[in-house]
Amino acid sequence: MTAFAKGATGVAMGMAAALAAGTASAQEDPIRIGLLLPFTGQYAWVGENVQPVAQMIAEEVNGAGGIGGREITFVQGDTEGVVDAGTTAAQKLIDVDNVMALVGPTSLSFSGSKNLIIDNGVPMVTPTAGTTELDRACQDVCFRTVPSDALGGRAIARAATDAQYLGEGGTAWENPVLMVAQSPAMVSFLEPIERSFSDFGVEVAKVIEFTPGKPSYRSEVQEALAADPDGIVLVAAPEESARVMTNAFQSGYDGGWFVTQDQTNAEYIELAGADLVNGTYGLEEVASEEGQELNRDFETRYKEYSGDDVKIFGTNTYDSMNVIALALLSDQMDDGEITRASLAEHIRAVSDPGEGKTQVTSFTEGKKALEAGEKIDYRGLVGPIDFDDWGNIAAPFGIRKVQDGAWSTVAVVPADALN
Amino acid sequence: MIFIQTLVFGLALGGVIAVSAVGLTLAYGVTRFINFAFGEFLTLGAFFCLMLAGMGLPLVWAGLLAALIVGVLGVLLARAFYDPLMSRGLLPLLVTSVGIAFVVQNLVRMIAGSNPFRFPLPLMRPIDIAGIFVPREQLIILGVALAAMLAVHLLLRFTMLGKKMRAVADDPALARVAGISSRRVLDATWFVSALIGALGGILLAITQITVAPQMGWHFLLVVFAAVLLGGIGSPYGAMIGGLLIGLAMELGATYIAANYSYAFAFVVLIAVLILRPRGLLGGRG
Repeated sequence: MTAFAKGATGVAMGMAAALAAGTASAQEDPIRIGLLLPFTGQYAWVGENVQPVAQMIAEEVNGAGGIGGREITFVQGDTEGVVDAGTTAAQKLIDVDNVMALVGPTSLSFSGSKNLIIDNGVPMVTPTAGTTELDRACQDVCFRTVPSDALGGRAIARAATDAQYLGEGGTAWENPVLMVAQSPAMVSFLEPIERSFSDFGVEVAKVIEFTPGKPSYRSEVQEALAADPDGIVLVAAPEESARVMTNAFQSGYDGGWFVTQDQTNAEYIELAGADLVNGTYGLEEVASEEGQELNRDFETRYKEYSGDDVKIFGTNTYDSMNVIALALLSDQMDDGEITRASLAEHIRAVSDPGEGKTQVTSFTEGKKALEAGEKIDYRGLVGPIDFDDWGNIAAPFGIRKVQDGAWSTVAVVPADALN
Repeated sequence: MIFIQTLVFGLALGGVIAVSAVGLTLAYGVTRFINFAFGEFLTLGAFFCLMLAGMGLPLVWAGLLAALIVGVLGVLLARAFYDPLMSRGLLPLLVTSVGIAFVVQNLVRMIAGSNPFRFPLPLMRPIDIAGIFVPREQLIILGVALAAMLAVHLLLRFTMLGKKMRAVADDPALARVAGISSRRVLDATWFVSALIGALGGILLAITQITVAPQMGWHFLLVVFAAVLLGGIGSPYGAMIGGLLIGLAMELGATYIAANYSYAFAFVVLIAVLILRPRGLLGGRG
C-alpha cells in the first residue's frame, strides 16, 4: 500500500508541478526549456524522475526574479523511449515550441534527435544519456552531466579484475560473462566492457545479448551458466535485470554480479529483493568530499520539496538545470539577448574551470557571483562538471556493494586508473 | 539434460499462456469478438493481488480475491462499453476494446506509477532432480494452471452455466428460443473470462517476477498466438495452443537463438495454420 500511496502522492505532485508550470507560462515571454524524455511507455520513470528536479530548480530561478525578469518554463517532448517518437518530439520542441535548450534526450532516442539538435544548434545538457554515440557527436551544443558508458564500462572491468576495488573478501574475476539487453542505451556498454576486460588481462568467456521485455530469461541464463562464470556483468533496465538475476538464482547460480548505474540505487534493491542482490557490485559516479556534502543537502532539499527521495538521474538533472540556468543568466547579463548559439558558449563559460573564477554550487550562489561581476565555475553533485571538447564529463567511479540490504561504497576507481 | 530442462521451463511458460488464452477464447466463443482489452485483466489481476498482499492478506487469498474483483470489473466494463455496441458490428467493438485497453493501462500507471514492482513471492532455490533444476515457482505455476484448466473443463462440461455458454456460443438465436437468457450468460462469460485473465496475470507476475502497467498488453501477442493456434473460440484448443507456444518459445530460444523466442511462437502458429487453417481444434468447440 505504501507504494500506491506514493503513486497517488506522485500524481498529486505532478498536477501541482503542471499547475506551477502553467502559471509560469502565463507570464510574458518566458524562456522555454524542452524536456526531451520518455514520459510514457516502459521508460516513463525517466521523465518522472527528471521533471520534478528540473521544476525545483526552475522555481528557484523564477523565485529569484527569473532570467532578466523572464521566467523559465518547460515544454514536454515525450520520446516514449523510442527513436521514432524521439525524433518527432525533438522536431516539435525545436521547430514549434522554439525551445532555447534541451534537458535530454536519453540514450534510447538520441540517434533520432541528434541531427535535429546539431543542425538547429540547440544546446542540450542531458542528465541521462551515457551512450557512447554521444562521445564524439558534436563539439558545440552537446553536453552531458552523466559520464559516458565507455568510462562506466571501463570502471566495471577495472574493478572486477582487481580485488583492491572489490572490498573486504572480494576476489578478482577470472571468467566473467557479459549479459546485455538489446536496447540502444544498454548495447552502448557492450564494446567498452568487453574491450576493457581484455585490456586488463581477462577475456570475457561469453557475451549474451538478450531481448528486453520477455517474461523470463531462463534460456539466456542457461547459456550464461554453461560458461561456468565466476561473475556476470549485467547491463539492462532494472526490470529485466531483476528477472535475469532471479532466473539465475532459480537455476542455482551463486556467483558474483556487477550492474551499472541504472541499478545501483535503493529502488533496485526494493524491486529485485534484498536477498537476491546481496553481494552484488554496482557502479556510481562519485563526488569529491565537497560534493558529498552537497549531495546530502540536495537530498534534504528535494525531500522537502517533493516529499520523495532522489531517484535515478536526480543529481544529474540538478547539475544539468543549474548549468542551463546559470548559462542563461550569464548570457542575458552579457548583452541582454539570449540566442541558442550564445547560450552554448555561456554553458562553457559558467562551467569551465579557470584562474580567478569563483566556484559555485547552485543557481543562487552563481547569480550572486555573476551580479558581483565575477566569472564562475559551476561545481556539481556528480563532479566538477568540466566539459571536454565534446561536452563529456570525466568522473571517478565509486564501486558499491549490496550489504545487509543497502548499497555501501567499497572502493573508488580514480579517473587515472581507467587509462 | 538441457532438453529436459528446457521442457520444464517451456511447460511452465506454456501454462501461463494457456490459462490466459482460455480466458480470451472463452469470451470470443460467446461474443464473437476479440477483446483487445483482455491484457488489462492480466495487469489488473497482478496489481490487485499485489495491493491485497501489501495489505497483509496471504498471497493465495490475495490472488483469489483479486481474480474475483477483476471478474466483477470485467462484467461492469462489458455492460458499460461492449453491450451497447453488440448490435453495431465488430469494428466499433474492436476499436472500443483497444481504447479501453489504453485507458485502463494509463489509469494503472496514474495510480501505481510507471516504475515496476516486485511480485511478493519469496525467493526459492530450485529442486534438483538428477541434475535438472526445477524452480519451485514453476511448479506452483504449473499446478495453478492445471487446476484452472480443470475448473474450466468442469464448468463447461458439467454445469448448467457451461452448457448455456456453449449453447449461446453455438447459436445465440436458438439458445434464446430455448429460453436461455443471453444477458445472464453474457455476464457470466465476461466474469469467467476476466477472472481467468486475472489469474493468468498473477501467474505471469510469478513468472516474470515484476509487475508493471504494460505487462498484460505486452503479453497479449503470445496469448493471441495460442488462441489462434488452438482454434479461436475453443477453450481446449487454447489450452493446447498455450502449452505448445510456451514449449516452442523455450525450445527455440535454447536451440536456435534466445533473441527470437517470440518469433518461434509465430513460426509454429504459421506452420499449423497452413496445415489446419482453423487451428488445432477449430470448429470443435
